[in-house]
Amino acid sequence: MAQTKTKKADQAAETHDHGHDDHGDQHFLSKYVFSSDHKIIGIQYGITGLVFLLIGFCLIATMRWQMAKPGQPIPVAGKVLEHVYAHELGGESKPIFENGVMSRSAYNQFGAMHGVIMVFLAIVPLGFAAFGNYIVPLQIGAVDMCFPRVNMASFWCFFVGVVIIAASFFIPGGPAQAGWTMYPPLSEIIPTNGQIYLLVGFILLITSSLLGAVNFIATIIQLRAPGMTWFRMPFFVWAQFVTAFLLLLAFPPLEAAAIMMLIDIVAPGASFFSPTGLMVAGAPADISGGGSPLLYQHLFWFLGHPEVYVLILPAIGIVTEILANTTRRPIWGYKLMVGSVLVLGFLSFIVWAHHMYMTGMSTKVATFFQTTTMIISIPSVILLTCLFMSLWKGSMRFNTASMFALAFLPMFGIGGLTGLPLGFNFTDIHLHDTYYVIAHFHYVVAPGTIFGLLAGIYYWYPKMTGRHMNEFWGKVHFWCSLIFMNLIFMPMFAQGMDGMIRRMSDGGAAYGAADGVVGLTATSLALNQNISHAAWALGLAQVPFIINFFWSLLHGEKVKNDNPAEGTTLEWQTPTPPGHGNFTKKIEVYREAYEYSVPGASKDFTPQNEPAK
Amino acid sequence: MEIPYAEKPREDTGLYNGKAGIWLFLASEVMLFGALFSAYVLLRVGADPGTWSLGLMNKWVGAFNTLILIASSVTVVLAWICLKQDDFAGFRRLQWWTIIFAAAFLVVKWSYEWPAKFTHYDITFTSNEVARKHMGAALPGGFSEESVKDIWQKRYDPHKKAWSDVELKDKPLDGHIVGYWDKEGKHHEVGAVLGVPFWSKAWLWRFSQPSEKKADEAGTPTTFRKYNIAAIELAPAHGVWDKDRASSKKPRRVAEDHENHKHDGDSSSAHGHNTVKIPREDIQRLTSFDPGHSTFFATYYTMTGLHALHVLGGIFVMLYHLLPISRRVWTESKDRFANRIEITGLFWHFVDLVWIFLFPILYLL
Repeated sequence: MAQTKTKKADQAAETHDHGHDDHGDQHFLSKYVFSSDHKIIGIQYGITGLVFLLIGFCLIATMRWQMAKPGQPIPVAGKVLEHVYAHELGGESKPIFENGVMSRSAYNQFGAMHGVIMVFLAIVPLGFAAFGNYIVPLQIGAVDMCFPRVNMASFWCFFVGVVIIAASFFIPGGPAQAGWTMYPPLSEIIPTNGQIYLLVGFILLITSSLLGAVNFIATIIQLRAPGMTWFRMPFFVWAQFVTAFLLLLAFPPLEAAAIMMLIDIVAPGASFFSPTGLMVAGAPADISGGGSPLLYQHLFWFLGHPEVYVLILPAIGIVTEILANTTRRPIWGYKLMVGSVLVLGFLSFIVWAHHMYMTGMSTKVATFFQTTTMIISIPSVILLTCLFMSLWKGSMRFNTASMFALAFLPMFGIGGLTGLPLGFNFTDIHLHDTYYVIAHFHYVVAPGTIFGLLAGIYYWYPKMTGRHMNEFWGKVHFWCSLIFMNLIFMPMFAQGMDGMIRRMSDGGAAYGAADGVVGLTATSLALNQNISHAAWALGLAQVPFIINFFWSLLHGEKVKNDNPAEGTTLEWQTPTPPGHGNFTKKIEVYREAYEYSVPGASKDFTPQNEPAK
Repeated sequence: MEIPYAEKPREDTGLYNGKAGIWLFLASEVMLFGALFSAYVLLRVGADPGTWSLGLMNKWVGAFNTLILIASSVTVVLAWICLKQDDFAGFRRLQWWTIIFAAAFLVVKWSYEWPAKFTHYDITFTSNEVARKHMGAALPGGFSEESVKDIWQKRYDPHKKAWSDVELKDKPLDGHIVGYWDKEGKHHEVGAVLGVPFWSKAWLWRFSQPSEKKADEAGTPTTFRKYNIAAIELAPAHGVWDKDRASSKKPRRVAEDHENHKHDGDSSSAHGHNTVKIPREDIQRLTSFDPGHSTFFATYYTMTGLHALHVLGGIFVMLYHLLPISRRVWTESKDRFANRIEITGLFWHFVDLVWIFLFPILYLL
């Protein structure tokens, strides 16, 4: 009886026009640009994020030349930058790119902006805002977000912030150059207005993420479809729920810090973050003094550590969805994972000072933060273990999405485990601010999060566009990315343990060992070139992806039905692509999220909205 | 397409969407102001002796503002109750009262409290001897350590611990700048802008001598240096430097340098009490009570400024609810309109609560 009902519903869905859209008569602008539809907003975030992912990569690819071949002119790009990026440095009359050679200031600017762009303009918009906006309302069976117009305001707030930050590349003096962490007093005394642009941009980005986070949480609390109880929600929704809380509560302290730093820079003499007796260029600075640089570091890392989980949790959510789907098995330990992600979210608020062991904190404080840091590794390990266990006895479908998702597991594992020595005070003293740290967090974020995001793009592309991406070129993209990512970041562990410090514009050549001088070994320095070659090769490896992405929009294989992935979750119960209002039938949920290969069932997946027999 | 639970609460959560949203928003706001309160604690605990200005706020003005803000919190609730009792006219009346109270708060803050601070100057000196000389000129009975100690401890050191830790030259002489002498020795009055004495151009003056080496004019670009200034004429803070020490009150005299003193008529002292002439080479640091004065004032302006922006935002939202369109929303759906007023009220109470914390930490403690 129930089955015939579902069949009828399926037929209704199939006969329904796939391009269904109940505001088809809207103007192009209000439909695709100033839209309040969560799916359009998700795509807007996604495109912005992908563009900035590429820009952030280009910055570091340019810097890698300077590290591999310090002082040599950059071929082709150097000539272009010399004309495009023609700043005069504050106080000096030398151009920032002289004869195609990258100056130290340019290196600092590119380095700072690489970090800011990758974290705030690429990964957060992609993982949280793009995938969250598109997928979460679909997966919980909602017609849209709770506050569609607030959602639109969130995107445009973000977009204005992005434009301001991007514009700082073209102002006299160039963008901020005190690193993505913007530690004062350095960030406050560098003679460029880039820092002001960055801070104003930050305030807008944080306002945007506040509006977004409120919307996500309210949507998940209020708009779950009938029958969608908390423990029937797909894990991806849980991951986004916790991420939204992290954004809601961890970002405001950075907003406060940004406001204070702005006042420090703009108001003459103000010194929230500048200490008494600060000397600038050999003379006492004209400030009131009494400020605390450490205060800034605390406020920054109070955001900074939860931010790590803002970057990684959406990716874990995506990987969970894909692994359940492609192993055709329920997730092992779903409730355990939900518990872990909640504990993880809570603990991420009380580990921040492990970024600050070198600031001379007392041993008691250091002990507290070492302890919490070790504790937070437990839920992370539980999450990863559950995902590994889910693979057991799966009948795996090896498509591009699942390969990226599978590769995520060991990559994130390497990134996580190499973090343990950094969580301990005594080992961190040796490794602090070296390439070891760079390798560690890039393993988490680059082959970790970015692989998760790419997996998500390959997995949901058919739902978003109605066409599949090319599998062959997808696999080329995957294998090349996997190999080159590891060739980039694995050697950095060795360099870091050899003592190579971050942020050196010559790649450490000035600190090379010589006769009777202790310094960086020739091997360490030679690795710089290998890493750079791998980095540029990684850039080439993205070309098939970019072409595939656009080519498939028009020429990709069309989806055969609305559920090409044969998934159980609700996003596959919508027309392809989903129109305004998402569902064309009434959605009621009867099952848990991952009912794959249920014994006795007629097919190996049972959608959440299929009534019990 | 209609978003469910926009008006009526969802059964299992007991909330309508807007209420869930505003509570989450307020949670975020708590973290924003929480960070600033933490910064306040850290900066205050770490402040050098005698640099945390404790006694410079007018606590009666602050108390008045606290009272009117609390009154506005009462009217905002009464307005909502009126709606629940189907009394739209009563709602409008009380909403106007809320706005009037809120506006009064901002008027006191932005047209009196802040500007009064911006035009009040602290001067520290290059040596103890110079400080002794100018303070002596400011005090009606000449220099006495007891008097300076009394003034300084009231304002910077109420626990009376740091007197001997801070040199006399680093203890500020404060007052209003009423005039200056240019390098040709000509006296100028510091006028008001557009007839408003509070926003006089004097409030932008900042000056400090970074070091012997950079004492030349080319150094830091401060407004003070743009003017051709050889000495300033300071009217010591009224009721502070002359309070109860008026045994030898001599109205309108410029202490020091009597022979060079050339007034343009009677202009030197608008305040009607004595003024002090301070040559610029005696000045170590000159700053009004602006964010650059000390971390206390930086914190004060940041916190009260951010709070005042919230008040301003609340006023705009409440004005929006008084537009003619509100009557249409009200007739279409009474629940929806009452919900909006409830949400505005929750926000308003939060803004009020922040002030309840700000008042004691900035004015009283």
